[in-house]
Amino acid sequence: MNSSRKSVLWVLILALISFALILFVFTQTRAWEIALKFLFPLEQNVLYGTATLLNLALTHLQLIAASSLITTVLGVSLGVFVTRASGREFLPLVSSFTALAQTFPPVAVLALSYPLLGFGFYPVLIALCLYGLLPVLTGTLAGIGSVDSAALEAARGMGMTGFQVLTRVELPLALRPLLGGIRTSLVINIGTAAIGAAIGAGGLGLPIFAGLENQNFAFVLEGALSVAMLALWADWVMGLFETALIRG
Amino acid sequence: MIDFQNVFKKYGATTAVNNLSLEVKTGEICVLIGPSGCGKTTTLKMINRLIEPSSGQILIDGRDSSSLKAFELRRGIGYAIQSVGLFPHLTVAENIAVVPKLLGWQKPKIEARVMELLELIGLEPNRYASTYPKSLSGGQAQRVGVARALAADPTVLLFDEPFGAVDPLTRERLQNEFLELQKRLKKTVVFVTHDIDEAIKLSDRIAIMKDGKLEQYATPEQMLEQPANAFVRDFIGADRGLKRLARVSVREVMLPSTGVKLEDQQFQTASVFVVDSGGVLRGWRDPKFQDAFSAHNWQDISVLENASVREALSRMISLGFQVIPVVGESGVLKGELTLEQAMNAKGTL
Repeated sequence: MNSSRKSVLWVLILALISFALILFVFTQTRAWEIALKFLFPLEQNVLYGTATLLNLALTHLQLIAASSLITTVLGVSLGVFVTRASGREFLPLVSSFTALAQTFPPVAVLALSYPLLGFGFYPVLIALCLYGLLPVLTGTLAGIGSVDSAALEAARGMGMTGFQVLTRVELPLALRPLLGGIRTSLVINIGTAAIGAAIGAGGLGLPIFAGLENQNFAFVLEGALSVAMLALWADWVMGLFETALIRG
Repeated sequence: MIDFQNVFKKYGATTAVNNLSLEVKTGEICVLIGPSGCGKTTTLKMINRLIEPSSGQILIDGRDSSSLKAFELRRGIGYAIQSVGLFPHLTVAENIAVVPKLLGWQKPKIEARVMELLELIGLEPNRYASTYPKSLSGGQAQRVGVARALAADPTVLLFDEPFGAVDPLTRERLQNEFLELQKRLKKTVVFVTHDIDEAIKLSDRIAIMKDGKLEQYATPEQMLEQPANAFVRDFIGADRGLKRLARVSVREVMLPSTGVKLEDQQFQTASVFVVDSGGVLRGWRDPKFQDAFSAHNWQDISVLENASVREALSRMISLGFQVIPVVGESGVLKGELTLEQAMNAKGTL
């Protein structure tokens, strides 16, 4: 218990340091300019001018943080609810819904959300939540479903209450698929949020779309590189958390 | 004491347990046995209310089991199952500590208890306490499962084929260890199995069931001598005489033997078995070769003193021995068993 707590703390520290490092990279406007100028010597402007890279990244991160928080809480709760005795009737409905919804590409989800939800930060947030919910829910269901029935029977037979069975046996044993689901959801959302710029959410998608409109590929690269950096960082940190949290 | 009073369990139109009345005495091992679907597991699980009876009462030490909350009732009853169900994300020590933790024991008390139990089941605490279940062998996992059931020192233990999933050799060892343990602990045990040999060997009383009904409830001796009906007789099988030998331990009928010391050059007729200075069996003197010393691993040529005469007999047949050396756990020669004595063991019943 102690050693695992310690390693989680280490991962947390590592995540914060690396995050600060990424933010620092976003503040280095001059370095970005030199690098992009080197790659695109013919462009007059190589950096998106309307907002600083740091501001774009912060908007992007807001979108991701809010949507991931909501999807994780909602997805895990929903997954837990439909695997309890009281919610089991909804399990077939929810699993077929997730299977069906997973076939939509994220771009289509955003495209479809525009006529329904409108333009701006919140409509994109809602669309991201809806799409990001699926991997979390699927991961939670797969995780809880994979728990050895003997362990469950032993847990109940030893006198754990329903809540204790959930928190001490089911969730810890479901952790690998569950965290995998959160990780997928997070990484997909970081990418999808860039498309959100097209319907007014702002963020790192803005230079990409501006670049595409003006045939300025330096802008496109600026945005794409930043998005990729965030996605890779999130994937790496989630991987670290998985190894630190999963025991036995 | 566990007292079933007119207990029924119905699933729709089918009756899994049909008007069961049964009394398991304090400190006894009651084995529930019967063909699949006879209701034995349902009966067991009704004791700790993993399955709720449709009607009737189950009294545990005089108290109606439905008067407690199900999870409170279960914390006072040890439970071990065939698939063991150790929690893979907890260490061996944490697995054993589950019920004491649920009961809110203090940490030092839990730690001391875990160490005590690991010693009891023969797993070295320093080596095994902080390992995870996946690194245990099948037999070790079953032992930990038993230790976990014993953790909070319950008076009642429920065992659902706990030795069913291990190889026959390990199963015999676990059974013997369990009997030794029970001699000291004197728990009230309800034990489900489909293996009649296991039932005869372990039980103080056997309850044999068919289609949800109790066919006979008797000591193994009574059941072997007077099966209540054709079903019971068929279920026990033809070799009733041999099965009785499973009830007698080698220790009870063996002859003393000290063996010949390894360094002792002098010919002795007293024993053909050779031991080292610590008394550990090393082999025998072979009369075919002028009594030359023939070295063997004690595990390969002996039988443990807590084994049953039936096991000893089967070992003698497979080894082709007329006399087999009897050893303790560490290989120390304790005595010897001849074919004649093994046969006579039947008469002492």
